[in-house]
Amino acid sequence: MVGNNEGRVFCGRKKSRKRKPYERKEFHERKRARERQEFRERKESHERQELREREEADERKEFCERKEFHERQEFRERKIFYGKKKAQGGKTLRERKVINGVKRYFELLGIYAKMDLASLMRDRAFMAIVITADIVSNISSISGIFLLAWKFGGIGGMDRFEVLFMLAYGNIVMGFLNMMGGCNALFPSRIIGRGQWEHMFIMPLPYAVQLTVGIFPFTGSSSLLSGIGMLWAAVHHMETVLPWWWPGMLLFQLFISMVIVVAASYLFSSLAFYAPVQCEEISSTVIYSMDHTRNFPLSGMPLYIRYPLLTIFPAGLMAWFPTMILLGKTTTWVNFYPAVFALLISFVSAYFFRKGFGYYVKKGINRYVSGGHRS
Amino acid sequence: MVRKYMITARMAVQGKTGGGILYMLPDIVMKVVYLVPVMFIWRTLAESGYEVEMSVAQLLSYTYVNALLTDMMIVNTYLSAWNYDTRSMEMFTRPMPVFGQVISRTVGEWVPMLCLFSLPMFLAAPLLGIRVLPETLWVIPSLALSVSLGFAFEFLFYCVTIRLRNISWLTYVIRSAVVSFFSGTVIPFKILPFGMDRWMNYQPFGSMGGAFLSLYVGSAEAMEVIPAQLFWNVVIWIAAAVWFRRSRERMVSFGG
Repeated sequence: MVGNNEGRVFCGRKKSRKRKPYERKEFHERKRARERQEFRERKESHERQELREREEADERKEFCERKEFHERQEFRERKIFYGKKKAQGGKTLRERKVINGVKRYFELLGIYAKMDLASLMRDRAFMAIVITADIVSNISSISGIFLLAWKFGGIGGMDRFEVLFMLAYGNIVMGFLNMMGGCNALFPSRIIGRGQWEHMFIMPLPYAVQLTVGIFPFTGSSSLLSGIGMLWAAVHHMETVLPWWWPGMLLFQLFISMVIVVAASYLFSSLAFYAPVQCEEISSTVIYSMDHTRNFPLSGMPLYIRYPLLTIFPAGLMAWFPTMILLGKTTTWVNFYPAVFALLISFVSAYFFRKGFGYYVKKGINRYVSGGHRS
Repeated sequence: MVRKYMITARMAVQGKTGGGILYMLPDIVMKVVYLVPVMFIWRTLAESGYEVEMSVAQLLSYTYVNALLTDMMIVNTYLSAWNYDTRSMEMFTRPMPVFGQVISRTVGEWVPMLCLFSLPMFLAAPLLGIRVLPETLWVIPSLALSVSLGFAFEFLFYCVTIRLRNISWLTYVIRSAVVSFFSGTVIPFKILPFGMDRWMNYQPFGSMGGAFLSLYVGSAEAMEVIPAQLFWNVVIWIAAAVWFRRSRERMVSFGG
C-alpha cells in the first residue's frame, strides 16, 4: 500500500499511457468517422421526423379541408332548406319553427275535438242530457240579475234587454274561454303548482303550444251557445238602434275581453312559481270571482266602486264596459280604454310570468316525493 | 263517540291551514270583492226610487250575512272531488260512518274561514252601517235545519255524480248554478217578479240558505219557514240515504 503506485490508487485515477503518433492519427480518424456516422444518422432521423411531420400536417390539412368542405356543403344545404331566400319561395328558420308550431297546435286541436266528439257519440242520449243540463245551469246562473232587471224595468240606467245583452256578452266571453281552455290551459297556476310544468320540459313541443292546447267544442260549448242565443234575443228586443259596424266591434271587444281574462289569469299564476302549494288554485279563484262579479251592471254605482272594478280587479271589462261601448253609451276616447288596458296587462303578465319562470328554473319544485306521488 | 268526529274536524282544519294563511288570502279577498258590488246593487235600486218589498237595510243585511255564512248557506263538500281521487273509497275503509266522516270533515273545513273572514266582518258590520243581529232567535234552529238540508242535497248530488259516470265537474257546475238561484241566497225570493216568491218558498232548495236569511232579516215568519224546513229535511234525508245505499255499489274511482 506504499510506494508510487499507492498515490495513484489513492487519487482514484489511472494515469493513461502516452499514445504513439500513428496511434493518435488512427484514433482521430476513428473519432471523425464515428462523428460523421452519428451526424448522418441524426440527419436521417431528423429528415424522417420532418417527413413524418409533414405527412401528418398534410393529412391534418386534408382532413380539415374535407371537414370544412362538408360543413360548407351542409350549411349550404341547410341554407337552401331554411335559408333567408330559398330558391322556391322558402322561409327562414324562425318562420318555419313558428309555422310548424302553429300547424301542430291546430293538429292537436283536431285530435282533442275528435276525442270530444267520440265521447259525445259514445252515448248520445246521455250526452244530450248533460248538454241540456249545462245550458239550463248557465241560464239559471244569470237569471237572478235578469229577473231583477225585469222587475224594475232595468238597473242603473240600463233597460231590461240591455242588461240581458250584458249578461249574454259575459257568457260568450267565459263560454269561449272555457271551451278553448277548460283543459287547464286557462288555469296555468294548476299546471305550475302541481309540478306538471316540468313534464313540459321533455315534450317535443313549444311551451306555448303545450299550454294553450285543449278544446271541448262539442261537450263544452253550452255556455257559448246559450250566450249567443241570449245575445240574439237581446238585440232583437232592444230599443237602441245599433250602428252598422257593431258586429265587427262586437268581435273586437270580445277578443279584448278574453285577452284581459287570460292575462289576469297568467299574472296571478306567476305567484305559483314562488308558492306552488299555496297558489295552485289562484287562477281559478281569480277567474271564478271575475266570472261571478261580471254579472253586475256597474252603471249607477259610485266611482270608488266602479274604478277598482275596471283597473285592479277588471271584472267590469268582462261584460259591463264593453256593453256600454257597443251600446254607444261612452265617449270616443273612453272606447279605447279596454284595448289599452288589455295591452298593458298583457305586457305586465308576460314580464312577471317570465320572471317567475326564471325563479322556478333555478329553484325547481318539490311537489313530488321519491315514490312519485304529489305532496 | 263524539271525540272521533272532533278529531276528524281538527284534521280538516289543519289540512286547510297547513299551507299557511297565505293560502286562504285569495279566497278572503275575492269574497270581499264579490260582496261590494252586490251590496251596491241594492243601494242603486233604492236610489232609483223603485218600490221593493224589502227595505234597503234588510237587503243589505241579507246579502252581508249570506257572504259571512256562505259555506253554510250552500253546503259544498268534497264528495264529488273525492270520487275521482279515490278518497271516497278510503271513507269505506275507516271504522266510522260515511255520513259522519263527510259532515265532520266539512264542518272542520269551515272553521278557518269563519275565524279569519266571518268574525272580523261581523265585528266590522256596524262601522259599515249594516245591521247583523238577527230579528228572532228562531234563526238558530233554522240555521241547523238549513245546514242539515244542505248535507242531504250534497249526498243526493253525489249519487247523481255516481250515476253520471263520475262527471263530477258537470255535477258541481249544475248544482252551483241551480242551487244558488233556487236557494234564494243571492236574490231574495220576495223581490222576484211574476209572483215567483209564492212558489219559490216551498220548493226544496228554498228551505236552504234563503229561508234562514229571510228569518234573519225579519222578512219571513218562523211559523212559515221552520215547518217547511223540517218537512224537506225529512224527505230529502230519506231520499239521500236510500239512494246512497243503492248507488254506492256503482261507485268507480281511480287516480291518486
